[in-house]
Amino acid sequence: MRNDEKNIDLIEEPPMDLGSLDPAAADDTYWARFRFRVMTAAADELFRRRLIAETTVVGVMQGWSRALAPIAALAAALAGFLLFQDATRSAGPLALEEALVAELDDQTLPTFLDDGEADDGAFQFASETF
Amino acid sequence: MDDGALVRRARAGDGAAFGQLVERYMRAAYSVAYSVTGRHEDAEDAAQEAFVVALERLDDCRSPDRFAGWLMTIVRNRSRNLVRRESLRDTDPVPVSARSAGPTPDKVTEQAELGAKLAAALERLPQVQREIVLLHDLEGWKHREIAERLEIPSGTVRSHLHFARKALRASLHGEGPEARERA
Repeated sequence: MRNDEKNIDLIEEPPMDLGSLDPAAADDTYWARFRFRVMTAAADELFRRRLIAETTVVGVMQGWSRALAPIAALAAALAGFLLFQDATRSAGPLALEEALVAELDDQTLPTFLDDGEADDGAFQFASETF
Repeated sequence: MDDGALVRRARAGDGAAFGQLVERYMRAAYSVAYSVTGRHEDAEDAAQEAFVVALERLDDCRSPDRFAGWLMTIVRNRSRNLVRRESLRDTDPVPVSARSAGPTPDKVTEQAELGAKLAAALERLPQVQREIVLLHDLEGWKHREIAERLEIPSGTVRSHLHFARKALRASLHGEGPEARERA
């Protein structure tokens, strides 16, 4: 019973007129200006967030490829040009190591052994030497 | 669009979505700030700051659907910090009644006087009651909305609202503690 009375009491308490505390009571544009000030102060943070949102993994890769593809093409063209220049350039003086092996048969030891001269050659070499 | 969707879009830097959140909660934020600071200028500063802080910390809002309650906590904290800073600065606050000083039309003066009386009466209420009565009777929030957004039981909201109104009426009609002291 007491609870019911209390509830009725709570419901019956009429609202207060607090209109005089409303900052827009004397200024219709108050909330529009309020919103504008908040949005102006938030502009940098919104811009930062937009930037982060746009920077996805695919975006980063695309960004890299955009920068990298022309550089790679340029490097390839430059390398091709240098190779071509090298090929057409006349041979210069030989280095000492190159001069020593120039015009010699490029025969390796296994080839030499395969020719059937291995045994004779080896014995000849041994008998002549010792 | 619900708060959750707006918060998610604002996280990605969508200005229009954030603008909608500001539009939706600026009055409530002001009321909550006013309930703490008791001064128009401070309430305005605290509420505006709170929106920017909320945007900066939007990733910390774990339940975007409960954005309002989370925002109001920020508003309350910013307002308390502001009051603390003001008291440390040790300056004489401009009385509410002084805002309407000067040659103003009768109605405006009357409104300002009533506002000053209400502000003084509100100051005597506990903070939670001030907040609830402002959100309900000034901003038009319903019991259920206040309960959900401030995360307190609906019965408690009704009870606070009831006692806040009663105390305000008593103060305005000269039945408050000050009036009793004078008598």
